Amino acid sequence: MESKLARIVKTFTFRLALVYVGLFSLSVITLFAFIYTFEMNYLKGQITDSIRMQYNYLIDEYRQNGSGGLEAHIEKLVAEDSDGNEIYMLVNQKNEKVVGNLNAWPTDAVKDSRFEKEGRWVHFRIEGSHGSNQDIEVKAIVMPISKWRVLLVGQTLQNNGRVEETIVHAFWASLLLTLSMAFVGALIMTRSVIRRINIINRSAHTIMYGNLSTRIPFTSGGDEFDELSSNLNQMLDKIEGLLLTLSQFANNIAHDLRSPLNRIINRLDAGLRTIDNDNPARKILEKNIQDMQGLIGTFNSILKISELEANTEFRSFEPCDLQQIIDNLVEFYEPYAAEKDIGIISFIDNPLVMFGEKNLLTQALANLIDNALKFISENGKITIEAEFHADHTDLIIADNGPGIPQEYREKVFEKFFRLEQSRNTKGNGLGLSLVAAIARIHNATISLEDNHPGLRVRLSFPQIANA
Amino acid sequence: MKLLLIEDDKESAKYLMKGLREQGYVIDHCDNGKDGLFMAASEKYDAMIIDRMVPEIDGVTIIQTLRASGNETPMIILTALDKVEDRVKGLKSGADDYLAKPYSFTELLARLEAITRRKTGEKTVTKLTCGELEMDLLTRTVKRAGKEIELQSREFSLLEYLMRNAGTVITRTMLLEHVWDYNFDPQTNVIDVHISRLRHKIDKGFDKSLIQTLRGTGYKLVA
Repeated sequence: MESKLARIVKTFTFRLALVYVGLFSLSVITLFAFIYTFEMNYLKGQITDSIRMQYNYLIDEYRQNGSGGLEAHIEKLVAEDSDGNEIYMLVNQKNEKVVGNLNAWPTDAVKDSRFEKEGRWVHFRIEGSHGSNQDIEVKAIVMPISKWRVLLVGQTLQNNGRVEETIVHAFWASLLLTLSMAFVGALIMTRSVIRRINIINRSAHTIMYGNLSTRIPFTSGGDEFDELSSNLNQMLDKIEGLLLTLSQFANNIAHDLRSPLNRIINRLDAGLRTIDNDNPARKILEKNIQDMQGLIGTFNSILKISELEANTEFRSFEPCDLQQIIDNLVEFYEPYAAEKDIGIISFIDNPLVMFGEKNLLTQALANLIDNALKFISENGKITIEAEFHADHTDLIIADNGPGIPQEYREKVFEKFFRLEQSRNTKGNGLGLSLVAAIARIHNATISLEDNHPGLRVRLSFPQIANA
Repeated sequence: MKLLLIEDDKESAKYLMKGLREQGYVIDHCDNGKDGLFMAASEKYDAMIIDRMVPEIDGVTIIQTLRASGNETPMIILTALDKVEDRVKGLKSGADDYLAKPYSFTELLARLEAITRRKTGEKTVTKLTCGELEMDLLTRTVKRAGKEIELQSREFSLLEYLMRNAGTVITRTMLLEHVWDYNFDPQTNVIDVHISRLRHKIDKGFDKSLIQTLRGTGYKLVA
């Protein structure tokens, strides 16, 4: 599960999704910055208006009813203001409190630079009420109303603080929600993209290592992935067509050359019968016949491989026991191996029955044993064993010969490919291609591994399951 | 011996007839299936060589028709198709042997000799003899000049095939096909080693070697 997550995180789609998450978060931040600035300004404006209104009201009271009326009115207002949001203070010329809800004249008040006709705006802080030790900011207007009296009317900004706090909380909550939803969204998006791409990848794998006629499946949607699949499929059709033409061409050549080859052999045969045993021409004719037969062998192998490659379906398979085939081959090769001081042993002690063509399976395994026998010098050992897995069974043919270097382990399956070391041995470079073609029609896979020293050929048969 | 050759490739037929005549065979030839079937049905031959792909009536049909009418003449079917299914189809039609083109003349000759001989000496034999060599097919024992020779089961089959075809040339391919039922060509000289093992066993303590090696061709068991 973790490795799956790690794989998702590594993908391009996921990185793209992260960029998207980043942009989205940025827009959330900007939005909140706007809301914050706007709301705070609005609240400030509202407070200013409310202070001004109250102030004007008090000035009117003073003008109509004089100092006594103003003082009584302020006391009334202070008594009415239960939550202590409104601030009133009237002091005499010595800055001593006449009436108001401040304990003392705020000496630390900061004056605003602008001076309005109503008075001067100031800011200061008072101790919080109800024992709270947090200071509360106050905005107020100060105006001397006569020679002996200075009036201060203000409001605390604690409501602003509350609004501000709410906005900030909302901001963090939305940011967290946005981020987590975007992250989950990115995961889901990436996973579904990966799923679609994996379908294409899996098909590509099947095509590369098995069946060129496999096509990439479609969904019904007709989206951009379907378009990609459709284009890839068309490309594959084209490639397959070209390959088919090529292999038909090769087939035709091989077929057409068989007849003249046949005649040449016939003539050589006829010639051979007309001359005496001690005629020196006899050796030459015999050598020619030998080479001709080698050539015919090569043609037959090409035709056989083409036939196997062209005709992968509708084969008449019947139950074959690999154990029996191998036992017979071991018995067949044992005398020859013994003469070269090579041991050949099968460790398969149970029947391994699968559907296949016995002749072809025999040929494939014989080719592998032949190869091993050809390249082991002496004191060699060839072992054949089975490895059981839940959904497939592997046959392993291992030798302690020179092995095949890593870089050639794929190439040796190509037609006519021969390693430098095998240039001088008998063979046509088609043996392993034939084995691979036979494996393919049985749905088996073949791979080469290092035997430290030597070669391990692994034939994997998904047909023989042990579950 | 009189042979019928049904083959439409003129060049092939010419060389085949020349070679077979040199070996003392008498040959009738025709280049299409219709005439071939007529000749095969109206005359008595010792063996027939029939190409699978001849015009008008194909080789498999000719053989099936002849066999259905009770004709038991030994037949070899020749074909350019070298697929296992074709081999099986060819043999199922009733042919005694099957040879894929291109083949060598010696291969054809060896097979021809083997099928004509087998047809005459096949009937429920329990004992085979070849000079001082005796084989009992029921007890599966082999004796040379009365002295018992121990053979493994595959060596027994190999010797049995050689004895059934004693005096004729047996190619390596014939041994592969009839003793091991293998239709591939090993890149190593495995057959030679099997023969030399067998030879070692049956010649041990005797001066004369019974299995001859014919260079470039195969083997022959001689009395």
